[in-house]
Amino acid sequence: MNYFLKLTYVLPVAALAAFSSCDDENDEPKIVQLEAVSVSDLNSVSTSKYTLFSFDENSVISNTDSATADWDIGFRGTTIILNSGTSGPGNAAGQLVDGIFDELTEAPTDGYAVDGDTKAITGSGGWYTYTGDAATGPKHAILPNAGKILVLKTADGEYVKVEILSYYQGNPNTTTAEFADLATRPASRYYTFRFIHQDDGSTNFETTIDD
Amino acid sequence: MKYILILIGLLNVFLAEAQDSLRTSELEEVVVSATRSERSLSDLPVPIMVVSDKQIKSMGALRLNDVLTEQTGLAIISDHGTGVQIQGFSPDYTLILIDGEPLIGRSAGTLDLTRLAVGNIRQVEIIKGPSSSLYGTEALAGVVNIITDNPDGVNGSATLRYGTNNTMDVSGTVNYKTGKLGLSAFANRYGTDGYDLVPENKEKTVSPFYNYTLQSKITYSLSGRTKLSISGRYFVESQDLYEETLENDPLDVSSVTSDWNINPVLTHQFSDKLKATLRFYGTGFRNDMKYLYKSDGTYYDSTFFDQHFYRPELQVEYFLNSRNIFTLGGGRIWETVEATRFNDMMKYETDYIYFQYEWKPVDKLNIIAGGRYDNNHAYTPQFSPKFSAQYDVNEWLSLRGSVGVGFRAPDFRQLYLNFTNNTVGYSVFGTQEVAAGIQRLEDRGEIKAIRVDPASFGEINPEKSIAYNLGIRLKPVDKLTMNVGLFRNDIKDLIDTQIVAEKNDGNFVYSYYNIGRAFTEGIELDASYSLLRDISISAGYQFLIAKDKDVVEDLKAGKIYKRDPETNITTRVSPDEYGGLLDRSKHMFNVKLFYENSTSGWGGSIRTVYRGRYGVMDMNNSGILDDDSEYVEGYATFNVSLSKTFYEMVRLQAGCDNVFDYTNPEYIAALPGRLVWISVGITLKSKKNN
Repeated sequence: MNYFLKLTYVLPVAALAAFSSCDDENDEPKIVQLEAVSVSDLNSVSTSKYTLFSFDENSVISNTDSATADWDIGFRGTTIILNSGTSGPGNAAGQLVDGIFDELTEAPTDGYAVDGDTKAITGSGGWYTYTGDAATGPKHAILPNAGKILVLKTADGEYVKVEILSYYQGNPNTTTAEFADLATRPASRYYTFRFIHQDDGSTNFETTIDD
Repeated sequence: MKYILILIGLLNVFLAEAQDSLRTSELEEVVVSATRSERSLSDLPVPIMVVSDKQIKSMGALRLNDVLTEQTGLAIISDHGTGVQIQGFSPDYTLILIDGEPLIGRSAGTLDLTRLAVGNIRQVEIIKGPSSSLYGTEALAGVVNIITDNPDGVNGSATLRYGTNNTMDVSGTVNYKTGKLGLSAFANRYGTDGYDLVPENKEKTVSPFYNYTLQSKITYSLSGRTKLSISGRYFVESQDLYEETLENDPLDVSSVTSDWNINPVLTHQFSDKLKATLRFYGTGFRNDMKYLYKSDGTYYDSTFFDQHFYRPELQVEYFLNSRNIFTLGGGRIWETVEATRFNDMMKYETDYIYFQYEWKPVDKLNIIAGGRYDNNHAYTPQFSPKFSAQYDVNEWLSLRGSVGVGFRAPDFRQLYLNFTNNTVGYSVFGTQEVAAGIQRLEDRGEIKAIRVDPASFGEINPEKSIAYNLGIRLKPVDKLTMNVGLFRNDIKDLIDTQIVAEKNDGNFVYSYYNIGRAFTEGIELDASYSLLRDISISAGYQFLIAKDKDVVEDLKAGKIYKRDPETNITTRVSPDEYGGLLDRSKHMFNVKLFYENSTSGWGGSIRTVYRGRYGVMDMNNSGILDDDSEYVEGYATFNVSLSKTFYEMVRLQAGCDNVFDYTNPEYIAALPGRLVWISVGITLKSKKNN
């Protein structure tokens, strides 16, 4: 499988000013701001296999590792699975939280579901809307719902927040005539999203301790 | 005394006067819609507009939508038919009447106004604000009442009109009145090739169709005190359409729509003080659609909708004196619907009574208080009161105000629909079907989870509104009349679909619930001025705000989000970005000039109607109207007409609608381009006429 994956890694930057003057020998841990990581055009084209992804690695995990806790989330078309319950051996869990990505500074402590008969992350009416034979706007399009943040626990139980931006190659503007026309619409099943992964185990999405 | 005089026939005098002038503001116009009896327009404390036969002829209007589109505050909306928006309400909320009797056939909510020819009508009366206190369900935004001609004199007329798109309209009327017996008949054929705003599509914007309307009325004076009238109507329309399918195998669609009604009315004047009216009304509507594959003519699908409505009603009026009039009425409605998506024939019965008290405590003050009680087995009984008053401060200033309750009963779909989309897989059940529908799906093991309390199944209430109307009528100088109106409608229990269960395949089951709240408010200004004897100028403007109350609250709470089209990143919608409900223009105005000179026989009109920008869709995934890209730009249409009458017998008329050929193929399919037409009419009158 030829994964078409382009990853942009935004390095954690700028320790807080209060600490910037401290020298490196200081034992006090550095508090660093968490910055969002963008993933562009994650390919979920396969109709048989899920594209598995690890937030910790910020990379696609091979399907041969599907029975491990190495991956956190999987994509196949519009279906999103988490590494838990009926989907995998891990301890991942998730929920959709209403709000703005940047404003969600703290992960909720409860409300997480694992994959079962129902997926923890609901597709239609959950993270996306299928426009169907809409009278106006683009027809038969999958549009991520505004204000829906995926708040997840990774397979290892760490917190991640994810905003899905697009289901189409190149994160296109979906309000254009070019997108409305099925003949010129970019290919579907290409996820663009951004995430913040808190690897210190806390629910904090603003800062982490760099040790 | 005025009322009694009117009742015993001064009406004809007014009408005779009306023939001679377009300066309607100076005439004592008589309307029936506000009280269900003839009343002088200037005495009525509710907002009413009257469009006279003269004006309709001068405009060259053929169908009811042509007439309404040029009136202040009314917008013509296309939603499974051509309907009218009044005070910001969708067409579903305006009752359409012919001679006070309701038209049926709202298969998808809108009653199609193009079904109604206007060749034989005396006037169109438009009441704004709820009139459920007299008419019951549907009269929530207002009432449009088409008053047909009564047999008068011995005369006949024929009109032939031809115009763009091979549109031909042929009408004929016959009147015969002698002594006790009056007969009138009207026949019309309207046919058009339709039009195509997007020629590259194989589907025409409007496909060719033709229709026939037959209407007739018989009046007979059984005695000086007892009168009988029987009116009836038959309409049939046939249209052939072309429809693309997803499989690229196009379909030929044939659609046949028909309606009929019969309306015998017996009135008896027991004394100067007591009058009784016994009405019976029966009507039917049917639509059949047949879909065949174009390639080989084989059957694809067919649908039908068949509705009937029967109603006896008794109304008694008691004229205590000229200052106190009491009206009491009651009846029973039997309604049935059979349709493709219903299980079997659905029946619906409503018993109702209404009362009204018209009180004139002093000459300057006129008060009308009334109410109606509707009892239907499918929903909770409704009481709809209305109170209105008018105070004439002086010769040139009157104030009026009204408060009323309106309701709209859940329609047949909302009660009885039983529909599963076989391609996608979702189901929709009416409230009376949902319990059984869910049970069937559960028995088949298709239900994964029920999402609502099953105790809520079957619970539905009518949609309700409370309306406030305030008005000022000014007559600063003799020939100028001005009206200022303020309105506010608070609507609750709006019916919408809600998920009730999830199926194993991930599809949902929907039913109907009372979940919406909205308001509409605005200002209406109207002025008409008679310039010289032959020219009348009028202008009208409406400012409208119409919003979903839940959206307003969610916006305040910061709970509505949108996606930036460039980055697709979610941001918050701020409350001041909210543009309100779709399809509502904040600004609408019209300016009209009519000319009619009875000496020279020349007449004409120039009319312009502007509809301000309005929302058509959500572009940024916010679910509401909040971005400039979500509006259709405002537009104006200009219409002109010119006529010349020879020897009071032959009338030639020519006109052009939408002179500047404004179209918007993408969003305003109902607006054809420029239409040019000519017509010739011949009227023959017996010498002893009038």
